[in-house]
Amino acid sequence: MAIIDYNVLDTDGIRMDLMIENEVRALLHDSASIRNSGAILYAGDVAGIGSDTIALRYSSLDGFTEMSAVADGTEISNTNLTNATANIAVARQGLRYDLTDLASLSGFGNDIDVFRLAESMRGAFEARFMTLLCATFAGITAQAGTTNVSLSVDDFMDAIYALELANNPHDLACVLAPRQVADLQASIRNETGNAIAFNPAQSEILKVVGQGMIGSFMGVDIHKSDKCATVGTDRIGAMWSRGALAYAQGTPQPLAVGGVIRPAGTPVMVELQRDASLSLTEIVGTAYCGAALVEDARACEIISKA
Amino acid sequence: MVPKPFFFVPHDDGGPLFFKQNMENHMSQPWTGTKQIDESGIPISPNTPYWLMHHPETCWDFVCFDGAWMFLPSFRRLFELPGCNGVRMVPRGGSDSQLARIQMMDNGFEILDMEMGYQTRFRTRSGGWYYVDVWSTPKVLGRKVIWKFDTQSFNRWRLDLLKDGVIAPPDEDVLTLLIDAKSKRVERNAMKTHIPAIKENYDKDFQILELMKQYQATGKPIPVPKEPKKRVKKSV
Repeated sequence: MAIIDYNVLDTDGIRMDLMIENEVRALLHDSASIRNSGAILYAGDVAGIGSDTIALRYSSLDGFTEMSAVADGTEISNTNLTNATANIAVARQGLRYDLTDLASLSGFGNDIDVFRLAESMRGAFEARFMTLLCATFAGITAQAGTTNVSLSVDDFMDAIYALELANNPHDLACVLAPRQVADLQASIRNETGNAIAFNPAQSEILKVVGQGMIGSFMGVDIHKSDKCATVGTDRIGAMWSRGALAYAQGTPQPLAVGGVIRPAGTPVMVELQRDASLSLTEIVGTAYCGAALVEDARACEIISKA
Repeated sequence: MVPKPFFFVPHDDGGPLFFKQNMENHMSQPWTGTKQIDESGIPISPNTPYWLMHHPETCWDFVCFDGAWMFLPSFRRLFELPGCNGVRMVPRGGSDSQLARIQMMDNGFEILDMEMGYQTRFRTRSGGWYYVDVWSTPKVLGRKVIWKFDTQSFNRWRLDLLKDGVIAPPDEDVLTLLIDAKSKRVERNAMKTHIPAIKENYDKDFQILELMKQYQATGKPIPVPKEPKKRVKKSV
């Protein structure tokens, strides 16, 4: 008796060995960015300012210099200002994909095409921004934690103490590498019978955490980022009060030509360029940005085992 | 260990730590040609070179080296990464960190010249280079890179920096600050020594704190206390 089974149809080319899914999913990656979280300052756009670098200006205003007692009838001596500047240089960042027409036209309706790759540039920019921002941590003077030792609550507290001793306000944020977050969670679990153990935030921070903002502990907003620099056997995170870190960007002027896409909310400019002789489209994403540590006294580096 | 299919030899245009794959692809097919050579490296994202920086106020480690406890300098880094901490971009490639380094020096850092040879680089699989301290050695396990760090050599180099006068020894007042920070940590854990894991850390921190105080008092490295020899009862 002839049975028409799957093997027969497959061998005869009536069935396929495999069928690709309609959707193309993104590979797992850390897509979180704190650019718009409020934890870092936006220093402005260098477009039309005459330089690729913005200098933030600081001076001993308000209560930095206090009055002193002056004897009645004597002249008050004049005082100079203490001034400082911090520079943020904006640099070009870019990514390019070349997609042939055949590769594009043979896809499904929801596939890798010119517009999907253009849309992807937004995530590529945010990832690059986080790399730039996290690289600034390595230049912070104050440090908590120990090289090649797992992060603990003690290290976290040391960072808080360092910022408190430097007169920082309470608006604290922190970026830790995934390994650092996991080690901190493990250390929090060991806290018993003290103020930390009975803090409601403790149970919150012990839950499984995702990407980006993972909660608040001891009044510090904690963000997790895989972009924290790895230096040999260590990862470098940081804790800071608002104003320690800043970023700037550059936005090219719009051109009166087609083929330019600007993803909303980002300084990214995606341009499409045809190469007819190769039958392909170049998708070129460009962004101009820079990040810097602008007030060292407001930040503390957190170093621990990678 | 580097996986077997990859065969590394010193790169012909670099030092002994630059690698490239020189093995011809034995899986080549007629359409791939016969001259195909796969370039390969460690499976890690490329990074940028960096400057080591030392701050006389905060950059100190209290370590046991060569049979004695002592303060040795530690370092921060300025990455030669355009757009980061004031590093500017140079047209047609490269970066200019002059202004950024001046800014770091204004913050109190002493910058160690790259020519001191504290940095090396490894080729990465995705192209580009991974820059790392010369005391680090990569070990590739599948798609993961595990770094082995030669602490002894690193400590010796740090001690040489002090001996050669490149970095001044820690100031007495800085030692007080460092000891205060350690004391705070010891005091914080003093009430939790009923937990074995915390007691272990507490004992270690307490011992280090005492050694730090001795260092401050004498101004010299403190020899590791030798354990008394066990008395062996002679059989009669």
